[in-house]
Amino acid sequence: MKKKAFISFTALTLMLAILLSTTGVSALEVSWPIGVPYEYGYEESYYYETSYILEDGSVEMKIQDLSNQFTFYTNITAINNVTQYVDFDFMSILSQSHNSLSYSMANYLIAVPSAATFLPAFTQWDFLHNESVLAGFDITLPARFFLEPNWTIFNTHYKSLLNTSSVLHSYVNPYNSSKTEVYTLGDLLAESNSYTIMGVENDLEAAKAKLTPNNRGFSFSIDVAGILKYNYYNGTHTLYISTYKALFSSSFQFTIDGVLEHYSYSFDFGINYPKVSQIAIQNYAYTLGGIPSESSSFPSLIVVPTALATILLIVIIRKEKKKV
Amino acid sequence: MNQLKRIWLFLQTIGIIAIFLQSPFATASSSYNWELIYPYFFTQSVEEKTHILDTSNNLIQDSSMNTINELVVNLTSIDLNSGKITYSLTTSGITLPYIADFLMNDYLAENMLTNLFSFFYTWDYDQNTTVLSSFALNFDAWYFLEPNWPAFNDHLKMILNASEVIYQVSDPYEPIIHNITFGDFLASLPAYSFNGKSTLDGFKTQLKSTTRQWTFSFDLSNVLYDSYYNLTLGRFVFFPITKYETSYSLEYSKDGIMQENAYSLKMAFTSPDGKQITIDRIDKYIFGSKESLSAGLAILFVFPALLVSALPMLLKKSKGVNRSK
Repeated sequence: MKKKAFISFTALTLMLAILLSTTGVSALEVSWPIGVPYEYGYEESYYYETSYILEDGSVEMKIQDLSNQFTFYTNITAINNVTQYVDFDFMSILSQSHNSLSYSMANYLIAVPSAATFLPAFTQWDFLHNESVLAGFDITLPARFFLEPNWTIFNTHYKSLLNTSSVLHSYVNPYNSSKTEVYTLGDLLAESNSYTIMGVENDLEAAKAKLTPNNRGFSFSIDVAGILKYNYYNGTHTLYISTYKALFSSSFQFTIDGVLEHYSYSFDFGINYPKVSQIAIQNYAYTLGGIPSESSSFPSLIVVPTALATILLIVIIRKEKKKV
Repeated sequence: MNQLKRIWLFLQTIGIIAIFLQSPFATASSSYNWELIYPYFFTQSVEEKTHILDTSNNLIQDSSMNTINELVVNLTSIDLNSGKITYSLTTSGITLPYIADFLMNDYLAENMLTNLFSFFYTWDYDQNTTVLSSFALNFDAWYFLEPNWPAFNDHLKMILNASEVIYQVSDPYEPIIHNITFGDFLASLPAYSFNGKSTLDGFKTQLKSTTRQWTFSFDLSNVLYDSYYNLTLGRFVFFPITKYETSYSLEYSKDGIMQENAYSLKMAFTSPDGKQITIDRIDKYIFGSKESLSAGLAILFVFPALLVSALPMLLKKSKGVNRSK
């Protein structure tokens, strides 16, 4: 009897271990209806402003301001619980397609093995100042329309991604081949003007604490103005020009049963090259239920602009004080 | 007799001088105050809004596009003999040299009725008649133009000739050629207005020797047709564009600098597959930096405003007809 109990206990532990492991194939049952379309709204906007400073000092400007929004349906036609594939039709005014995609949480998390996969950063050596600079950056959070609602695994994994020693980019020092220039998540956060993760400002541990098993989304915003620099060859040297505005933000949220509720991405960017100035603003978002009205918005995204406004105020106040 | 002869000679001289002063050549040599080297800013802009509604599944799409491009022109030479100017044009920070004509005669030679308007009529087998399947208005807008406004306005009066054949369509059944005149085209429209006047003659009498602004508005609703190829029938099937209001406006300064060259379109139709499509578009080319863009907007809406005022008049008229019955 004791042996039997031991065996069943071991079996149970094994099953639990498999269920809890990120690689576990065992699937949670999904409750998405077949043949009932989910309506989404998609919105995108792009604003580019380029100013050219001419020889006589006058300024010539180009502005492109584009926006587009449409509604579309994702209509599930089949769900395979064994392979964890969902077949769905995508239908918008401009296109129609049939898709078959994996909805398994394990499969999804494989797409984000480390912080570097959703925070692509590129560092380069600035020979003029003999230092390593952040010369490229973006946020690319992966999402799916349908995801196995295994939020425990999801949150454990995202918590593990927020590891300050996680390497975002590295290269061999141009003067010392035995030295590797390493840029970590910790470096990025430390040198940023401000960051907001999971709605929490400038506090990584508090952000991690938000990744509880009830949580079903992720958000990351960072202000790297002045830190992010773009290279510019002036004829003799490669200069690294600081951005005066570089705000990146992305977030997503799922419903409790694993249907994408919201996904958004935005950046707000400004740089003054010696003879050309650029402003670029990009936004795009998917929202379940159609195109949201102007008044409704997702709170996690508002945090950063407000934070920025406060920082700006502080900076102005500080400068004013210095003047006095 | 001698004194009379002298007076006669004096009068002749005055007459010759007067004729000479009025000729385009005289204008060319006397009134160019365009400045060399001084940078002239021009701004080109496009605003477009598209709305599509698919009523069969309630899907929508809304797009908007606004682009603004500044262009900087520096005149480098004016040659009165050859009637050519040279200038450099800077856009996106890149400067390139250009040579252009500026004489009014050269300009007018390029702007005849069928250059100004492009028409395309096709045989519609469903209605067994010709339909207008394409229309465009293309004024040349030179940055700098000899300021001979009497010649410009006389030319307009001359080319806007209602009896001029603008298109010919061969009848597919009979050995007939259907001649479509400019007058036929105008008569087929629900409404049109040229410089605010709703008749061609009204427009012509309004054109003065000093007129430097011209606006042409056309309501081509249900007159202009679009088409799609029907595989079963093996031919194109035409359907009317239910709303098509277009306006074109050109304006020069007194001394011949292009001030505005604008085009607007308000269009709405239902596609054969049931999509309701609305397109609003404004293209502008204006003198000045981008800050000058909002200034000249009003001119484009001459036509819709006219329509609104015309409606109560029409209502009154129809009431009158009923009473007389």
